[in-house]
Amino acid sequence: MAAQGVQMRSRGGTGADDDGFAEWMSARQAGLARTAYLLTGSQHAAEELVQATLTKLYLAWARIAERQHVDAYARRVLVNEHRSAWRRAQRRPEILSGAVPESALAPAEYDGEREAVWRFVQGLPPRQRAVIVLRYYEDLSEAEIADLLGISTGTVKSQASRALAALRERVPAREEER
Amino acid sequence: MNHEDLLRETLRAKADDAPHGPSLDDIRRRATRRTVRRRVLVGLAAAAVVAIAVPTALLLRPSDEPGPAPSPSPSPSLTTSPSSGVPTPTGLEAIPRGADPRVTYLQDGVVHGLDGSTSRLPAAATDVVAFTPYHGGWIVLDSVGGLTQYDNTGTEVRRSHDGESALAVSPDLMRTAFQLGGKILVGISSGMGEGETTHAVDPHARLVGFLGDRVVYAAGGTVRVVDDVGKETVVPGLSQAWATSSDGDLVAGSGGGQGDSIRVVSASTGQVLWNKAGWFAAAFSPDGRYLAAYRTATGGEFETVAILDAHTGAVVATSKTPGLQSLPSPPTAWEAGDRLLIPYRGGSSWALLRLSAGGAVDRATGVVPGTSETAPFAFARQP
Repeated sequence: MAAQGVQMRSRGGTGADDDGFAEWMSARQAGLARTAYLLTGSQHAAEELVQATLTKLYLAWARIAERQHVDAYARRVLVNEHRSAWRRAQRRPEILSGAVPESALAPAEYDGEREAVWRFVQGLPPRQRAVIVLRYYEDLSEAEIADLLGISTGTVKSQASRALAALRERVPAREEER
Repeated sequence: MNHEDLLRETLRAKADDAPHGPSLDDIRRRATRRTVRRRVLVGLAAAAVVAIAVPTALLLRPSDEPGPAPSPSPSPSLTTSPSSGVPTPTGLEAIPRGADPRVTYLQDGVVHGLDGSTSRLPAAATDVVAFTPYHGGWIVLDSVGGLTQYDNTGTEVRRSHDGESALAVSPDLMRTAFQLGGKILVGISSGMGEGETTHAVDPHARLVGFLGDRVVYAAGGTVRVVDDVGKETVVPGLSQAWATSSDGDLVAGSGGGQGDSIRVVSASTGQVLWNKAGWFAAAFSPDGRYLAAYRTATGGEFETVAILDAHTGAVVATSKTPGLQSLPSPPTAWEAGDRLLIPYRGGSSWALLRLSAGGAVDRATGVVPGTSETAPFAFARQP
């Protein structure tokens, strides 16, 4: 997948212009970590994902000519790295035993409801979880998500729709209780 | 508050639990290690890179070791066009064109049958990674594990709503098994709905395939075989399974939490035949002699595809694909005998390549454009 919107200079960057990178990293690192945590559901995996993403950006920094697009580029790298990680891990037993809440949860207090939603999100298959995080946390459009994940907009819609349908079944609607 | 807002609120709240990131020094150190590693790999790969330009780009190695790793192709995320360093379509086009695929396969929505006939999947079926005829219509599996059944008019009959579904056909092609939620359903492929049996399984179970007349699934760290009347037995030594042999005996999986390894077990005796670390099992050959397997190197940046001896794990043939990529878990298909079909990507183009146990490689299709990481090919589900 090409990094759209980011023009690269010559290849072979070695992390020159440290000051510029340090400034950007200082401003954006926390945001990347938040998205990484939502994508992975694990602090350790999020740390690893952010490190991998920042390392790639550091190595590419001298080649990124259009700095105004670097945020979008960073998000693309983060999603690509995450996708590679779960593809490598998809055959590991612990991934397949993830706890998707299968039965409707009892009406809960506010925090319990939030926890139920969080557990539901964590139990989604990785790509579907990515769709949800990019749609409802990053507020990306369906087209942007499709481009990032390398899938059709139809798949983005169906994945989001399926997840919402399942969520409605499993977590009682708050508006009906209040 | 509707559920979309509930999702937004939860994600924003949970994002605050994110960890603190690394320091700039951490990034510098990691970048240095990565640069050194890349230089080493580039040096090791020099001969392999030269091979890209010739039809023998796929280096077939009869030995058990895959040999030195070629340079990983430049990260797609660092390119602005297919020509900016990633392999060009020349890499695929240089591979000699062989016979058309001798399996039923899907390309651009058209199903190409073994007899040369063509038909179409329902227009609603997109992002397809596997399919099979069922009850006069189709069952289709998409790339994120969603399963949909269509009738003979293309109307959706049923579909999965969550989780990752699976699809399998019996060795005699008479029966189809598929997974919907916490159920595995088995039906007569050519029937019209009669005699479909349902077996309740753990909601997180995963259908693996048929073992003779029985169905194999993995759940909760065990691999189970269930017969026609619902009686279950456990396959010893496996915590996960990925493939079953058509002769009804071998199960390829992994054990002891080692997801990136293969362990092959004889279901009839319970004996572990072999283990092989660092490989993923894909599918047994129709005669049960071979097992297609994949090896991910340097963080999944390129793949080695191999044909292993199913009874010993020895590497019979290996395709190393400098500049070309298959997916970490690509759809594959065996032609009759010992020939394996694998979708490969070179830059923004795709083709089906054929690897035989004898070491020959050719291209089974034309080179077609494709920008997605999902191959434009899919195969009818095989036993």
